[in-house]
Amino acid sequence: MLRAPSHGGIDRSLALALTGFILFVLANSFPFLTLDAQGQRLDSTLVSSSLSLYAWDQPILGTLVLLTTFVFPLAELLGVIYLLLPLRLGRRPARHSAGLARFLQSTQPWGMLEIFMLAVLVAVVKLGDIAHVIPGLSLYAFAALIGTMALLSTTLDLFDYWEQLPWEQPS
Amino acid sequence: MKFLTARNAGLIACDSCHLLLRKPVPRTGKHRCPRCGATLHSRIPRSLSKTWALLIAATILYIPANTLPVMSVVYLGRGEPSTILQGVMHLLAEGMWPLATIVFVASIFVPLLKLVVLSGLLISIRRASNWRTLDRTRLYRLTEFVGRWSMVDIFVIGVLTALVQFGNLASIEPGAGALSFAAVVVLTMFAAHTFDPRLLWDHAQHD
Ligand SMILES: [Zn+2]
Repeated sequence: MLRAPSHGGIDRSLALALTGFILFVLANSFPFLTLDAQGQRLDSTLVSSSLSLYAWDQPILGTLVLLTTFVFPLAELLGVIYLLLPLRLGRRPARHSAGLARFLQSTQPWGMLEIFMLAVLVAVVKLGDIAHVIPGLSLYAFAALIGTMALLSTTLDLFDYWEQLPWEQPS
Repeated sequence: MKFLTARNAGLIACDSCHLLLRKPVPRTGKHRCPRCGATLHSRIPRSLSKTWALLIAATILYIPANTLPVMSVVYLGRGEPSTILQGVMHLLAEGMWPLATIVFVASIFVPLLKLVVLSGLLISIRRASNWRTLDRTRLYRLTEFVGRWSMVDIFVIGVLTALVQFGNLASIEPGAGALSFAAVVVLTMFAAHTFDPRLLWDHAQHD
């Protein structure tokens, strides 16, 4: 696998990660879906799904949902910024950042925002005959976030990062 | 003639940063990649037995995951439990067959496919098969890629329990099968991860 380091790739990944982070904050700050059933209204945010599983005494499921829809996606966005920003500024990455890069690589399949989106669609359809579901502001931010993260995963390749990481050739 | 693998050539590639190194002589314990610090191994250690263990556990849990209710709709104090398959049937009854198809494939077909494909691949390695190695590797990549989508049902349960909380009037609660189902998804994802597709190539031969 031979390839010249590409500065365009770093710029693109950084821009996407920053955009993704802003969308992530937006998506988690406003109601996600509102349920209207006979005059009663219930708001729910993104993390509500995980919290309600804790409330139903399902801490393992709650943790699984929290990790896959909140912790790992957020870690990926922040991690990419942390790893690539020094490269963009022309510095070499710090030795200690290698552990973070490995963590991000191994947890990548566990960020599941796009699957969560499909689940929201299924849930809305299932509730169709019981109640009226109103999409919230953060649903749009969330949809944009999924697009951004999908683009990020196609451009992001820690190749440039690994190439720049200082290391000693064993003798 | 055998394929030339990196291992036969005396080389070892780091799984994490893809640095290609001359194979170190294993003396004590673990060898670490000098660049990224990941443990170096040309094949995942005890890959076969780990994958079998995870697959057997997942196969056992596949039964309660599909027979026990994964959630129940409580309306005016009366609970109506539903299994994964009943959930799919419900979507079909609503006329939402594209969505019903997606959920059926993701929740019932994909976990079963993963169990069957990974077991088949393990057996083929055991029998030192050199039959269509490239296709078997592709089959592995496919199951690894689609496996995550089975989580969709867990998220549906999460979204529904969060949205429908009208006290005594109506609520949706997670059922006993939900945890088994999540365990099947997670265990098969781990199994795909511990399975080392390079083992498929160790017996591959040119015609
Ligand atoms: Zn490495």
